[in-house]
Amino acid sequence: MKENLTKTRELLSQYREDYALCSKCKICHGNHVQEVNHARFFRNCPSGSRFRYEAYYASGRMELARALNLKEITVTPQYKHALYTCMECGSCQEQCYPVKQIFPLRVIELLREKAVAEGWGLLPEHAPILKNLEETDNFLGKPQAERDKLIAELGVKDAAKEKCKVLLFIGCQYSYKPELKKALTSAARLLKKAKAEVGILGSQELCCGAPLLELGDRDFFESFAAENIKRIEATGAETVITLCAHCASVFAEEYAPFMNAQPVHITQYISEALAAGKLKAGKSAKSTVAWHDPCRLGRRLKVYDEPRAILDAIPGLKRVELERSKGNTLCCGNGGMAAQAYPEFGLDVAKERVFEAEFAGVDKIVTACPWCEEMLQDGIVGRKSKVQVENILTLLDESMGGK
Amino acid sequence: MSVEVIRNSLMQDLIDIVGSKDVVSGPMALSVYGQTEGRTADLIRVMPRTVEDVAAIVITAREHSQKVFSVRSKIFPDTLEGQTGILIDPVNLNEIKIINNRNLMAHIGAGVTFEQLEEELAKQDLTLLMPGSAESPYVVRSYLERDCLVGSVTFRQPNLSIFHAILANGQKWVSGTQQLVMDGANFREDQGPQLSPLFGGSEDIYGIPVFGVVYAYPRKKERQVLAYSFKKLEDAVSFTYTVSRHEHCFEIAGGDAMWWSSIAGKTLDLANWTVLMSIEQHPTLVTNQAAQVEALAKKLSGSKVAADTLAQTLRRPWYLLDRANIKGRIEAVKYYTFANKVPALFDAAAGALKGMPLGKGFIPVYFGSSFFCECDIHHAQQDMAKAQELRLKAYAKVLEQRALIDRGNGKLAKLVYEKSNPVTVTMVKNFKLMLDPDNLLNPGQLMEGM
Amino acid sequence: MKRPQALAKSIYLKDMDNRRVLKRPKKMEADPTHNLPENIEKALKLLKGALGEEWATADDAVTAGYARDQGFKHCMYPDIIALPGSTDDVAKIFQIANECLVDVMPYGTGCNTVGLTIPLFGGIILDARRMDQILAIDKDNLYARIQPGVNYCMLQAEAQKLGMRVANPSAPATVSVVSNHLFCNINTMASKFGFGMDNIIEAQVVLPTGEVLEVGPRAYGMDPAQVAGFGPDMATMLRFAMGTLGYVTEMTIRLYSAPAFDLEFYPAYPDDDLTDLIEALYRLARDNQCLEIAHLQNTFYGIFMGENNKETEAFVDAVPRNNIMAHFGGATEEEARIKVDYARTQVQEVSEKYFFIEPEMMVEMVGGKIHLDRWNKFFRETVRVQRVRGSFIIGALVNSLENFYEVEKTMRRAVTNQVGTTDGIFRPDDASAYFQPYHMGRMAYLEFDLYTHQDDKDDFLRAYMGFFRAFFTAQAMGSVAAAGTASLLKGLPGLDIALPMAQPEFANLMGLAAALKQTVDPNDICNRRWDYDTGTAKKFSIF
Repeated sequence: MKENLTKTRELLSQYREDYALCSKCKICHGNHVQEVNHARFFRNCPSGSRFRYEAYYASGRMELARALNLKEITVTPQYKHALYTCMECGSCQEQCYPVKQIFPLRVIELLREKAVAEGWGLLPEHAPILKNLEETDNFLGKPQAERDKLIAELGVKDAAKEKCKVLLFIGCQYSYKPELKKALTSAARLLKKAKAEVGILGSQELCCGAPLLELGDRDFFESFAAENIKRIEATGAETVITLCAHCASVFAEEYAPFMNAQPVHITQYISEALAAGKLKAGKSAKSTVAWHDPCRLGRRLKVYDEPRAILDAIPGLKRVELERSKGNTLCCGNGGMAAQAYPEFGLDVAKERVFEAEFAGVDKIVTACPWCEEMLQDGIVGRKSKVQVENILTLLDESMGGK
Repeated sequence: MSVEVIRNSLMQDLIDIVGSKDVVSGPMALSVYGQTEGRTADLIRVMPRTVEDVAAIVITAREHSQKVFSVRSKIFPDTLEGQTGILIDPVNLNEIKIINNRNLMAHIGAGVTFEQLEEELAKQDLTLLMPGSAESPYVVRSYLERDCLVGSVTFRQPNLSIFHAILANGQKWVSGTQQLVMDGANFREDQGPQLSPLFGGSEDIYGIPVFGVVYAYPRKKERQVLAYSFKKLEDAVSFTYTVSRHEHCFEIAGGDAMWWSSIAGKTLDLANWTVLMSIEQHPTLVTNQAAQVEALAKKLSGSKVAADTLAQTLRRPWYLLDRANIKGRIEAVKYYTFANKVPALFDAAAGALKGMPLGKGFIPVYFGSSFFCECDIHHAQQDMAKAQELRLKAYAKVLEQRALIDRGNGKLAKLVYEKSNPVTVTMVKNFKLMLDPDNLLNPGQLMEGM
Repeated sequence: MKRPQALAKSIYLKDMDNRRVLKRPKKMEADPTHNLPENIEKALKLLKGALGEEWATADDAVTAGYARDQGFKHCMYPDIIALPGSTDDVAKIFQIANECLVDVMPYGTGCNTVGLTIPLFGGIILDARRMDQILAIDKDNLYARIQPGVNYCMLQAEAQKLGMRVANPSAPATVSVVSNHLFCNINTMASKFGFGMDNIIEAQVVLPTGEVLEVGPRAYGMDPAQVAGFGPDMATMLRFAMGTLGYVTEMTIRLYSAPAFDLEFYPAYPDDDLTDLIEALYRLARDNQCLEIAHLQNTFYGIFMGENNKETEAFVDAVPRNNIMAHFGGATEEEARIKVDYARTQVQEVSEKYFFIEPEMMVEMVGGKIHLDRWNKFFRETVRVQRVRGSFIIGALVNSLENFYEVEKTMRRAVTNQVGTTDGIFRPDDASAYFQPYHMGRMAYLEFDLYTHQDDKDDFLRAYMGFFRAFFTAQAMGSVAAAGTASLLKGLPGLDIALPMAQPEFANLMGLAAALKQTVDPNDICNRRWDYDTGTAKKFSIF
């Protein structure tokens, strides 16, 4: 019998009032007005800014939910296009909720769940992700066994075999992507320097399920969540550190109520270590950097200050803010599994973010999310930009000698 | 019936409406205009006393298949040359019905002049904004025609809240909130699409204004009039622009010696570019703003000059015709441009007007974001044709540099409309067709054929 | 160790439900000549060819987004949505619409509270969102040329960078500047800068025939030097035309200089008597020193200042009943201070019961969440429209300031216990009002808003009963519907006959408007909300 292993299920119909009362004020289309300094940077809905029809903004997606609920319309290819081009960045909700107490992002998430539940959801481009998850337990389709190698490489405990106080939940991307290995190594090194008793699960670590939640396949997600929680609890860890912003939000929102370990994102842990004097940043080469708030770390978890504190602790770095930052951050283009179906659209969004970095005059755009890093790098190549994308952990680690 | 019989019958009908004293025909009919030497027109001048009279005259004209013209200027317009018909002179529509001190508005007939209204307003410690280069002495007409006003830097309102006009069918056009309630706010908003402003700058081809509710202003406790002279036009313009943008003035205008002399009516010994301005506020603010103005003038190498003589020119209308005191006659090239283009456009106009004595002046509007500029061509009677020809050339020159010519008629209108968006011109004509399909009112006064 | 296989099942491949569409709200006229299904199909094909496959669609997923707004008006689907990218595109849309006899509903950014962009009988929605460029902005000469997709936030941000400001709208910052300027833009507080419609210098309009009309100086090859342009001011015909006369694709509007120093001024008193309030407003307006001025009753004030209903409620309780907000500017701080000090003496002369809330106190009252300086400039992005879980009805009236004393009292009597929301956020007697002196106090604007829960039919009826009681009470006392809306009222049953009888000259305006409409839109395709042959509204926008 199927158990509800995570949160109590919510149904789209529970949000009927939200989508019925959306007044089309269009506040969801852009940023908080008082914080907009340039016309171009008002726009903040990635899909709306690209596809322009009402259906591609939250205000229109509320109508998609309403009209479907009232059976005014049926699902068409464009309906699905409008639904799956949403990057679930939450910019709409950031603007709308404080004013009208409406949850547009939640409506979109539940609309995707409804789509899956009713069987008309998802796109062919999403199939490989699901297939990989079914077959290999990670969305990249890599052998789980490879993850075991990381225990030795990083010099950390095998949490599946021995107890550890701090569990580093690496996530699929950092586990397998060579270009992210540097950041992973830095993370482990920093944690060790901070005297953390770190362990990892190796091949026992499954995908956190974030891609499934974003796609709306909650049943499938829960199978991962349940197993991950069981395995994490078995390690006896008091703290679970996530490296990826998507893992972080899933842990905080979905896992936390069902496990004893306290989930934190690595930027939170490191900034605390810096503040406590457990870590001391070294000197970095002079450069101007800007923190790119990953949507899931920033808007969802409100982790705004910690990464900034880390950057501010590194002498030699001049930190500036991007025009769209904190609650107003622009998605990198890789959220909501939209870019998996529409890569060109994702790239366009990334290029816009890179433009913003150029506009701010930065040398480096710094972040702590593998999805963002990957997409911003593509944006840099796409724009032939001189801006570099850098992981915040690498930056700190290198300032301390990188050893 | 012979032409004479028809005309006599028309005369009789007009006399029946307004009385024999107020119907004038023959050469005397044109005495309402200045600069009429050498001009001809066979017009019967009628001076109605009431709005109903005007409506009756228009209906009578229609019955007699006569065209109706209206007095729109103190100077005889080219477009009236050789015309036949009825000329409505609003001089007797000169009743000041209400002066509402509390709401700063005056309800006046279309024949009330600036001098007449100012005298009455002064009794209640009020004033009104005066035109900088008016061709009509009548307040309603001047405001409806969007004449540049000397104090319109800060007081950017339209100054004409409501007006009534008689249409070609004899009906009355009422603008603004009076379309619903005759008394109340007297606000300028029409009750549907805002069509009333179309009457402005139209040379009365859509209707003849008969009444208006115009704005009055309270006189302030403290008034200082200041004048500064500048060697360079650029500095004078820069000074005027900054003062206007900061709202450190009530009235403000600048010009060369000839321009100011023609306004003052006597030769003044002034530096080439003199800016005259007033500040009206409560005393502390006047002191503060005057000090800021002084500092600005100094920064721009301006020197303070005695303002007494020039000060007398303020608070009275500056009629173009009154400035014909240098050579006997005057023609003017008038346009708006941006502050930074004032010198170049003066040069362009002066280039076309070589050999003619010129007076050049400017009046900023809308916080200095636009400058009304004027090149007065002073000439003798015998140079009339030449002056008129050169005036048109000067207009063409400034138009090449995108000067904004706000209104005009005859050859000037032709010059502008030839280069205009054809759809726009068609729309102007369409309005005429809608309101006056028989082309009864002021035919040919805005453009040929309508 | 693998996960238990039993749970690892995606339901991706499950068949889609065979759903039955129950109702898709769309109305046809009784005897339609426009929007015939076969013509819609033809128009869509032509539009896709003209604009590109991506920018015209009849897909339900897209049309659903245009079917309703915050108003009470029934949901009504358009047939086609077209997103032009240029003036040429707009012209093509109109040409196609004429050819196929399909209605076109102009749409700016789609912010509306009374269904003005909801099509009555289907047709094409012409959505401006691809045309959202600020084409020119001139800091020295104080103007900007914009496309209809530009909203107040975007323009205000660019203007502020250059030391300028856009006259603040009484609308959210997300609304189209072009649309709102054309619909008056009453500028909640900008007494000095007139309305948005006063600030239109020139416009490019695609007429319903597809012809491109330029109005204002540009039509004559002239600079937009702030005045109307040559001869009759054609730009004015577009004001309050509600898009019936064409679609504005570009507009040049006047901007204002932002003073180097800004100071705020908040006199207030607790009691409900408006006599002293009106006198103080009158004196301040007559002095003409403040850049902006308005009176706000505490309920209105809370709505403007609070981020949400909770904050609003807290703010409403914290501030006195009657408040004046005024802003003063100066080239120096001293100058601005002198202006404020003088204003203070003027207010004190009116009554000693006034006290003055300092700006810091104001920030504290709203929980320090507000950047007061930027708030002043933007006047909050939310202004009322997002407020209250539902809808609200605006009554907007013009009259002399002194007349409003009686009008407000009578109106309040008329609406007390008739309005409010059932969720308890606003009490039944909380119909709030504000006064704004116009043109140095020569006249004034009164706005009263009635809040309703959009989803509650009882609220709906109560609010409308209250609205009409209040409105006709005010009208009977000489107040006039603001923002040129009498033509809308004229469509109400009975009023189409009553209004011309009360004032025969009104018929002239409607006659000319009808003739104009017939001239520029012979096929009557562009926003067929008004039936111009009879001069009456086909359908009042809220019913």
